[in-house]
Amino acid sequence: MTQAVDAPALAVRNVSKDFPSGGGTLRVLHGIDLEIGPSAQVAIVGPSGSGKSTLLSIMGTLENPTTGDVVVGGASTATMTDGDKAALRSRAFGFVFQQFHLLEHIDATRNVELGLLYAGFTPKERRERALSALDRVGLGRRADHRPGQLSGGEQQRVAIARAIAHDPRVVFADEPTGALDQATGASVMDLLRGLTATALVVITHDAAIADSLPRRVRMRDGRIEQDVDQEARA
Amino acid sequence: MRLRLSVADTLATATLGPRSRPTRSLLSMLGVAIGIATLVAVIGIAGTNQAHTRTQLEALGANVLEVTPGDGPDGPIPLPTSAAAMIRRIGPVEGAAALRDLPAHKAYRTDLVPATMGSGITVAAVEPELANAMDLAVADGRWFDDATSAVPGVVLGSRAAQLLGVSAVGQRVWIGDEWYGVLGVLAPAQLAPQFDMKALIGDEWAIAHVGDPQITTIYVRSRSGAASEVRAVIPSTANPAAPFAVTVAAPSRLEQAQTAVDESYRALALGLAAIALLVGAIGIVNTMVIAVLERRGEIGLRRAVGARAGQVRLQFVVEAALIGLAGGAAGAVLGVLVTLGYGAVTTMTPRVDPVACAAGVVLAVLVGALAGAYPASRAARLSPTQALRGG
Repeated sequence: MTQAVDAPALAVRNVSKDFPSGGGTLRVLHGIDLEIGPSAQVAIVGPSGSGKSTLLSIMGTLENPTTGDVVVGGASTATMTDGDKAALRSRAFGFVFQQFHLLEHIDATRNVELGLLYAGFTPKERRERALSALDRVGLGRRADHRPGQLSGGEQQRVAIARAIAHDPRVVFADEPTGALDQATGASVMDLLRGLTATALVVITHDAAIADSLPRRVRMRDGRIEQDVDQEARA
Repeated sequence: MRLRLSVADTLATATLGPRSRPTRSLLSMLGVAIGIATLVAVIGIAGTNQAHTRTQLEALGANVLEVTPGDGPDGPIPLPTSAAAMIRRIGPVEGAAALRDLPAHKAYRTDLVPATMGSGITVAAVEPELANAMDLAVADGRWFDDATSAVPGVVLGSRAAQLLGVSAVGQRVWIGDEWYGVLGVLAPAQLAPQFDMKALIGDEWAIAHVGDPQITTIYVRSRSGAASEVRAVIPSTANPAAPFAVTVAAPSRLEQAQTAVDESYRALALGLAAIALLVGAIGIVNTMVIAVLERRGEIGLRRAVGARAGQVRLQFVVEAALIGLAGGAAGAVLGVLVTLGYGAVTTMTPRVDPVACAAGVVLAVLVGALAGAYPASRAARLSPTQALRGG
């Protein structure tokens, strides 16, 4: 049985990034090439200053590369306007952050709806998707709670619900367990790993988390040092 | 592809900020509220005063005209002696009387004061009709009648009597070069306050003994509402031979004085309102700049989930405009309450101006939106990555 090769959900093509520094510029990323398949689950690891956070920002179109391109579902983003990239993010990407970034004065459902606000859904669709997403992360009973009434782990689950409510192609997670204790962090990672039909890119400094994902990309000094398909090893 | 937020979504997004920080929002709308309250109250108070003055004047049956002689090609043309009598025959005229100023004459308490010293009191010769025409009331003694108009008697205005130290009828006043007996003292003249400082003598006596005084002014009181009719007819009635030499004016010094006071008061208070609005705007700018700083995380998040820079900017401009709206509405209500209070305290009927209220609210919204422009553009320019890291 032949399987068609899946087109990548996202491809990084020869991306470099410079930042102004002192009198000149500092090159933070050097010619990165990377492909993420539609159901890939990738950990990006590396010491502080290796450029992994910058790479995630660029992959998520939150930042522009100095040279190179990010191709999403076959479409090049190099020539896209700010408005086009925003529209792309609203449909194709979901983000999970270390600090959760929930709004304190609205409940969980409305926080999840915020992730759908700019994507063109009707208010009814937003409500339905939000409640469904909260169910998927196991917080159906807490839909009307405010972040202040939720534990850290629960808040991160709300953030994950927000990230998946619109069925994105890729979920980007920047140190998702950084503000959580070991046990809570582990259950959050279980949840993330359980997401199907979406690619997952996780930045982490935690070796255990990195090892739990099928693919590990190690970075150092703005370059990819190693790109290991861990399942293939096993 | 450009995805737009609905108006409902835009408004809901913009109200999130103020709702999450109610006390701070309240404080930031205070400046604008005070500015608009001042605006509405000033216009309301001035309107109340003006309406009251107009009502007063109309209650006095006042539609007052002053007729004065004008110039012909060869110089001034005096009004005929019969002019006042002719004017009295005009239908809607309720009273008309001639006054002749005697500028060379001064009034003193004794005959020992040097002629060069003045007292501010002017002397004029008047027809007995003047009391009816100008609704002059006598506080003490009597007004002229046909008999006393022909003898050396004087009726003093209320202030003139005070200055001369005259308190009783029968005392004497030195005018020109003889003594005049005080016939009466007038009450303060509401319709024609200029009479308060005058010493009035009978015109029959004056014409016979004081040279040939010309008519300075004919005072005319017409029925309420008929003033312009009467005004049109007066020139040809007063001087049929030279109607172009007749000037008719509607001075009503009371109304003029009131208007002058209102206008200077209004200018001052509008200046204060403008300053208060400026301070209010600065308050909103300040609040919004702080809000943008505090909400960097939220701004970065919105950008991450697909908000365009322009949508972020719009969110904060609308938020500032809503603060302005709330401040303007509260200010308009407060201004109306102040106007009603003014009416209650002065027992005048309060006049609230709804156009001023509406204009004030619109102005407040504009001030808010303008104030929000700078902080909003700072929010829009934030780099999402940095906003998310820092927040």
